[in-house]
Amino acid sequence: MSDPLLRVDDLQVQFFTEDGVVRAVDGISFDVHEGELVGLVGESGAGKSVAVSAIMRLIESPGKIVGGRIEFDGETLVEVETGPDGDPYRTEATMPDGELRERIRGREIAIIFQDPMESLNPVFTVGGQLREFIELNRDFSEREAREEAVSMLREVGIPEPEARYGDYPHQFSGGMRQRVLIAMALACEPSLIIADEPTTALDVTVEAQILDLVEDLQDRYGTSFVWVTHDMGVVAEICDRVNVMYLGEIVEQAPVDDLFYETKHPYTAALLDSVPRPDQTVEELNPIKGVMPEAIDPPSGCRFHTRCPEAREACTTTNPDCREVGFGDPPHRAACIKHDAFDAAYSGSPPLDAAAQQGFDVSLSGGETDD
Amino acid sequence: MSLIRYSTRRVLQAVPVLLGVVAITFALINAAPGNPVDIMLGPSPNQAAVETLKAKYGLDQPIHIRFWKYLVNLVQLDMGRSIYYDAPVTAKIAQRLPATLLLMGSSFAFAIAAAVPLGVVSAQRRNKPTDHLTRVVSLVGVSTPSFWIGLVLILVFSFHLGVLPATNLVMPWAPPSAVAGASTRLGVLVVAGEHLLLPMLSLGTLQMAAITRIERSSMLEVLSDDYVRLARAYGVKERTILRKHAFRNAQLPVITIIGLQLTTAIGGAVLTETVFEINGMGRLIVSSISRQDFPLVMGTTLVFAFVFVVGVILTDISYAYVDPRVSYGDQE
Amino acid sequence: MATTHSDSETLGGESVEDFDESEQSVEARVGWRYTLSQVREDPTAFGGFLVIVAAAVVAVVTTIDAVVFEFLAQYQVFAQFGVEKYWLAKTVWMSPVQESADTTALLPPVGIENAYGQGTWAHPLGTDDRGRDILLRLIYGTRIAIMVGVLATAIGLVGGMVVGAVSGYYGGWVDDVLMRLAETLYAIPFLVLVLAFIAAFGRSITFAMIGVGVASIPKFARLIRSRVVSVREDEYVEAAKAAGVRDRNIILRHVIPNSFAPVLVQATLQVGTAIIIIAGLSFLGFGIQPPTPSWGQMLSVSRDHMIADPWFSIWPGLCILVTVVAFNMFGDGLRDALDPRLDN
Repeated sequence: MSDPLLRVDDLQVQFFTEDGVVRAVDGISFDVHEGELVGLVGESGAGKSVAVSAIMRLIESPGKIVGGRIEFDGETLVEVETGPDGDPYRTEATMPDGELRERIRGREIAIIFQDPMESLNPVFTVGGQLREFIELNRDFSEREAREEAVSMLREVGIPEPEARYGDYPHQFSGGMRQRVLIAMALACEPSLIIADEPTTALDVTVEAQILDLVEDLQDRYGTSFVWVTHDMGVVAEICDRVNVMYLGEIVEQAPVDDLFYETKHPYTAALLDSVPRPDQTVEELNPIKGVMPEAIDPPSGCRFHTRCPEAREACTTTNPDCREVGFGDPPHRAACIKHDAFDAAYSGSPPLDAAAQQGFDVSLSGGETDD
Repeated sequence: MSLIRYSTRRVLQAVPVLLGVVAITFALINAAPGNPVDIMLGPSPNQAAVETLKAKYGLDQPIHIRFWKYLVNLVQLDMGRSIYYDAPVTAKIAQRLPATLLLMGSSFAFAIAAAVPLGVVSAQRRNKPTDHLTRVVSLVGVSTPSFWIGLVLILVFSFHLGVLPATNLVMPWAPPSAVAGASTRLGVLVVAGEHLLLPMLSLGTLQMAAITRIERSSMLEVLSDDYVRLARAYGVKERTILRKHAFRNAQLPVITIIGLQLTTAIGGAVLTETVFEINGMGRLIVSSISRQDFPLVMGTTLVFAFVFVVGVILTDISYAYVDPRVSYGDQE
Repeated sequence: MATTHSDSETLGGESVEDFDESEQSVEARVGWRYTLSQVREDPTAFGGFLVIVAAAVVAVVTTIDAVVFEFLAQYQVFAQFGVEKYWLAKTVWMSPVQESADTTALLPPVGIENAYGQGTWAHPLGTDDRGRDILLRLIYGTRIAIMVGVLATAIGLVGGMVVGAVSGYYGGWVDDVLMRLAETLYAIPFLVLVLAFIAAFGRSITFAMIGVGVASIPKFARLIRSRVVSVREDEYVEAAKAAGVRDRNIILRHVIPNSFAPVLVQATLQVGTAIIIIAGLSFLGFGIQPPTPSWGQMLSVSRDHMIADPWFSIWPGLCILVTVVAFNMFGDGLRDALDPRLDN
């Protein structure tokens, strides 16, 4: 296989808050090839948004990239190593701020945020905002950028784009605004678009329209996508490959069909059990037990063991990395010691009393009065 | 187009409010225990004189008739006659209003010009020394009585250093012949500026501090909004983000505060005029209360309310101009 | 939740046996404790709080000395022990209002010399135009600032609460009428409204205080109304209505407690504003009348002696400044603690 367009290697992002250090992203690695639509899925709080913000170095204080490397099209967007004094520093290879801003942001990588209501500036016209970004990232004149903006609006299915060009965001519906944001991303002709839960805030019917639109546009433009979502249904519909995240770590990584039919991680299995699937008839849905622990104080061993139905004693001590556990290409990786690839003492280890674990867990992280 | 419609509606909305203001003021003044006629004529008045005076000021009629007459006259810009000056109230106010407007206008200009950059820089350098200093200064600024700032400024600049005059205002449009120490137009402007500087600082400090505080917090909030993050993600320079994408939005709460500050500024003007012995509306209302010159108290109160309402309408319209959601969202 | 039932009794007056305190109110209370702990950790807010407490103690003690003792002095039982107005001050030091023949007027603070003489430790901050000790008068001036500031705010708060709660809870024409009235009062600039009030009722500190209180009713009424309107639609109020709880009880027990947090912030900041306004009124001669000491009135007198003794004008202003800064710091801290979004 050719070199990937985007390669994220052992990325670590931490937030230095008053209450302590939050390890929001804790050593994740994944890649995206040209023309591929890669999913990043997990519950809210898993660190998905932080992970994708780190790609364009959009992490804001008090967050910081404290380790790992992100490569895009052969260039190093960021590389952080730990110095002899224990403090992380950016290596020479890291692209300077100005260059990143001028050559990468918008031009090579574009982003679509979750909430279309908040992503457009309410005091400027929709067309004006679109035009500004196109002008900036494609070196167009104002007139050219305007024409491009109108044609992109038409492309994403906004009726009467010339008339709507001068309208303000509040005059658009949520779905229409998300179309505008997609138009904005595509109009800059990037090679990669990061979509951070772009359909979460929308109605189901509008979501379906947007997903169709994205698939259609991706076919035509060949743009690569990183698609962040917590919805397995969305994953099944549009992704080529999927990364499942739990508490700052990637626990399973596989092509979409393998993930659904040869699930290798209990967390993924639990996620799949919790949503209806057209290919399976079940008596009832099985929501995941308990609440995800806080990233400020993750459980020891495997982070999922507090909620895992298959957890055993060994799981409380070993935190597995994500290893190849299946055959095939692209590879299927999972971070669970029940697989032979880990050579851990799983099978000999006594099972944990899951019910007691869950009760304990809920009382720890579920209480709001706990300060 | 919709902005014009919005402005018209806003002006029309103010009409009942102003009417209510007239009613409340009229009721308050007429609730006064002392009858102005008694005050004028002293302890044991001649009955005939009382009747004549009552008739002169229309006090012999029932209150609702008097209110109606007052309204009818008010529409024709007639607010009655001042008892003390024995002159039309409107003439007296017309003579005093310019100084007050000059004082308030200049202090707001100073406040906005100083506060907006201060607030933005403070937000930009959050938790750095500049920010801390700005926050301390603005906290002290909103907590200091304007009249005391005036006293201290007079102590330092007029008495101690002797560089600026401590009293009076000179109108910049006054003819050179009428202004001591000036023979040319430019000279008048210089003298006017010298006189204006201390009162302006004295009155403007509070406004400046209040606007700085809101500018800073509003800027901080906007800088973490999604559309600002989006602009950053699309490679827009930080300077452009600050100037274009964040600035305009951040001004919305600032405009609101400027409108609300008007009421404080008017109160401050009354005190500042007293400190600097400026013959404006503030001193007029204070002295007419002392003299129980009720028609004049009533007139000055109404004009102050009018100035305030006009100011609030202006800030509302500027808000609508900056934020299209207001004028388009014409749902009421 | 049953335990919270009894202490809400005092709030509601009438008890409603079959309706339990809603969970929301309990949360509001837990939130309160959290808020207070937040404020304690915020050094500026806590500093402001300490200054307020100190000023309040001084205000209470001086009020007892000035008002309570004057009242008690009418009775022989107390008078025989020498109880009289300013008894405490006279016993410890001297009267804050009596001009003494043997002291020089307008003495500068200690260590400074002016045309009238040399400042000494006998009068650390100097003397005023009648030879009275400035420090002592500043201490006794705290009484007016704090008491009048707090009382004026309380008038505005209670008035605003009644108007706002009724207006927001009932809606309809009641709301329209009350809010139009509030809007109209609001359209008259604050100080001008107070001045008009004084013009009508007479110049005295009582009318000044009531005037400031009444003039701040619209501000509180609007705030409380907006809270009430949002709380009114909440589920627990709906539940209370469905359970047949009386309107008055719903307002008192559910709506007001849950609207109180932002109101308290507003009230704290308003005390600061009221102190400045009252000082301004005294400065104009419409507030406290001599010889009772107040900061605003001292500033007013000092104006005539600014060249001879500039220090006379400095001290009262500093007192106002420190007190109002304290209220603002505490109010800001409260607001930050209640609204974590404005994390600055």
